[in-house]
Amino acid sequence: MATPLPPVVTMSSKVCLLGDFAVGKTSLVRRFVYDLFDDKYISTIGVKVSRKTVAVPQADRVVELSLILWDLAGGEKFDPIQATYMRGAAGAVLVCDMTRAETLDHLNAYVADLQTVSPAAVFVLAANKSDLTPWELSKAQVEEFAERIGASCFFTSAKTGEEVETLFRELGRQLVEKMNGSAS
Amino acid sequence: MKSRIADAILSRGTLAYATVGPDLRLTGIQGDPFLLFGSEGLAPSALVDAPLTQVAPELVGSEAQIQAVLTGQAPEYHLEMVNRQRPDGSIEYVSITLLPLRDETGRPQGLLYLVENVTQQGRLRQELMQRLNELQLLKRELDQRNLELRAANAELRLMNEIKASFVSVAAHELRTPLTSIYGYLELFLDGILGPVSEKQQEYLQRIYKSAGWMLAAVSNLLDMIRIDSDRVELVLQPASFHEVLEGAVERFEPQLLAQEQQLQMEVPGDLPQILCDVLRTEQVLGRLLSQASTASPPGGTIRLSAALSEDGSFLQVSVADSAEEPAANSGPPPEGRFSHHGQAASENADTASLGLYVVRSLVELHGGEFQHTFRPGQGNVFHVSFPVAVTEHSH
Repeated sequence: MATPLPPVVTMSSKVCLLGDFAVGKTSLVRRFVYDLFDDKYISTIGVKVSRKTVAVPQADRVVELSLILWDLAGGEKFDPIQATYMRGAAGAVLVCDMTRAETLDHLNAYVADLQTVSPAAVFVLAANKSDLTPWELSKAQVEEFAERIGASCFFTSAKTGEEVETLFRELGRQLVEKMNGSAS
Repeated sequence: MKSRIADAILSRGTLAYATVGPDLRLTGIQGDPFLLFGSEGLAPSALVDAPLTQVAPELVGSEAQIQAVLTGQAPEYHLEMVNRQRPDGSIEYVSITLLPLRDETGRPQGLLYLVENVTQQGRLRQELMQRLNELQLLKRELDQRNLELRAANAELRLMNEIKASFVSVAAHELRTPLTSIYGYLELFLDGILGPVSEKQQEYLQRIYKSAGWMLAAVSNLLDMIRIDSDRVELVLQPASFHEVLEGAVERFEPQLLAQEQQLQMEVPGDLPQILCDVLRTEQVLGRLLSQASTASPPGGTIRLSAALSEDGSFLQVSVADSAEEPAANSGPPPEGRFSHHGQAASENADTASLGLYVVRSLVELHGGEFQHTFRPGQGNVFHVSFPVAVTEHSH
């Protein structure tokens, strides 16, 4: 007798991509959703919403999690409109650029902004452009920052695709775990 | 009438709306489905009864806000500058507003999902933001390059200081024994240490001349180091050009006599005072005269002239030799001052070059100008200028 397939449950979560301009937020989404990359920098204004489903296997079921990715414009100052966009986010991908040291430090402000409107949001950190040199940030600096805010960190490259899929899958896993936790 | 107004507004293509029931499913659609939900090629009828958050993913996570509008607790829910990407990659910008739909009694009955195309405004903002961000990235790169340059400069300055310090010590070490050699040679040549044969006299003269050049070279080197490390301080004061010139000529006369050369001077008697460091100006004039004497053949003529500039603010001094070749360094002195001349005929060229560099630097420190010209048959002419002192009388 064939083993019965585990039941499939569908869920959706809003995820914001946060970080300074030109750190590669749009490129990360484009790589993850469409498996494409373009070197040309085009700044985002407002919000670009994309969707991709990831399967998160659980002990007794499979969760098909639809990640609603909110690619937000990166800026240095707190923008009240950004707060509107962040509201209701279950998670966030914090993005810094390994070749611009200040982009890691600026993530503190994004974390604070998101926690104001979505206190329960989970974070993952994408240390992007890891394929470029020279790095202005060390691995240790990034890992220390991630540890401080309780986020997993990944050294990603939207250009080569390195660690991009892993990062979103890990975020999906954490979101499902969190939903399971709040449901039980 | 209401319907006609709505049709007229919708026909412009910048607005579209959908009605949503209390169960948050679409009940009707008016306008372009791409504008409404970013999906192309869908018949509006196919979307009826679809859950709102499924067709409009921008509303996922905003369930509480939607509920607040639906129950009348919030007047509206608004999202600005939502990007919609067409299959060709082009982006359009829309603003989304959710408004409550009420029945005749004013009770909320559902929602109005209203979308406005704001692409024109969005593109302008995007272009502006793009330029701004690119500028910031460029500025950052420039700042970084500047920092690198500053570091490289500091390193160069340090190396230059080490070099200058080494050259300075070496020059001082050379000068002391050279002065002594020079002094003893004078004693020999003056016959104080006993008679010397004619042949010996001739060779001693050659040694004496070379030692003189070496001393001048060492002195120029020391001056150059002082100039390059900004250690030359001028004591500027109004001074009579005639007196300064007299001092320079007095020191130059022995060289002139030894070479049996003539000095012709054209200096008006009624020149105003110049603003200068007297000792340094004497040094400038002395070096120019010495340079002219060295470049001219024995028995040749050196001409010195002085005149006021057209506007009367500078005294222009020219020193001309009767050389048949251009002076050792007719180009800008700094580039040429360390040039290596392999020919015996140029044995004094580096010394002259250093001397001219020192002259030019001193003149420029005074705020004046240095120029050098050469014309076959007319020799080299060195032009220097000094500022005229501003006195109460001249006001």
